[in-house]
Amino acid sequence: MSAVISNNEDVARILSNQWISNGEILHMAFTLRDKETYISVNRPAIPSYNSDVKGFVTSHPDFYADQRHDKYIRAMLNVGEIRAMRIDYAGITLNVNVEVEPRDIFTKSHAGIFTRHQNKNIKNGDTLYIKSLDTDVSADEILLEVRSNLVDISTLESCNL
Amino acid sequence: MALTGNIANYSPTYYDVMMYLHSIPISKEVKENVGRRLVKEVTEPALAKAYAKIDELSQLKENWAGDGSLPISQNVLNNIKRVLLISDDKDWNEWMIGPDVNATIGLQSKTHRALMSLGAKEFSYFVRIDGEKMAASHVDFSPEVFLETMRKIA
Repeated sequence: MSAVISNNEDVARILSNQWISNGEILHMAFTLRDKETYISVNRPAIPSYNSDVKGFVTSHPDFYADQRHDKYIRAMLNVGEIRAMRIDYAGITLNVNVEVEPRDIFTKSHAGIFTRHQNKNIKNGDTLYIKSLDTDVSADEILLEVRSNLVDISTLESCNL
Repeated sequence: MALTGNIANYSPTYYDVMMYLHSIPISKEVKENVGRRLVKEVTEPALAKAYAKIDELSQLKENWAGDGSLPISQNVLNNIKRVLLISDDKDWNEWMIGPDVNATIGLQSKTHRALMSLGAKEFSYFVRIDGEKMAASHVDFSPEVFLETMRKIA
């Protein structure tokens, strides 16, 4: 069983230069790929974080922050703030939870930000049935709101590799 | 050289473009309109910046963001260009443009909590202003409807 990540911990979303504009993080930094059920992040609190990130950035040139290839950019998010997200629809708070869990099968510092409805992971193309409203809501709209919220609680940082 | 088909990897010269234009029957009025529009697109700052960004995004290769990320689809690039073609400089002052990993393009407002996502046939958006929320997904794309949405949000 994976360990629970504390609310006090911060996680890092490593950013492509294409996701920064005017010094701001663009919402596309938090897109779920097709069939993907979580947004990949890394945990600076884990000892392998620096080597994990270096391994990723060196194989993806768009993630170098500068020409000297000695920096990268990340969005830092607090786990507690992520978990505190509430998604409303038509005045009703949906049972949508945003959760952060370790996914250390890839690298030890790897984790995922999940969006769930009634304990089921939401991905692009899904439809959520809202019983109290007797209506369907596209998961794509929910995920757009999650992206917007993640941008709001992110802090942009430049780091040395 | 004929400027037809996919010229993604081809950089036509002034001569190429002029010879192409002269190879097709174009009225004086159309030539004047084209000339005026091209001047506008390169001299008006927000419009010129938007075009330059789209050109940059069209160069992204497979796996540009790792994990099987896709280059921007040609249909999406055509869609945003169709929007650019009917828009004014002030329409782009508000918006930042960037690529998305699913072959789509994203826009984000500089001044509001607003974002848009443009696909090959549909688009979606999310806006939060003064605590009020407005969102839609799977909206059928037309350049006019997309531009109208951009203007409403801005």
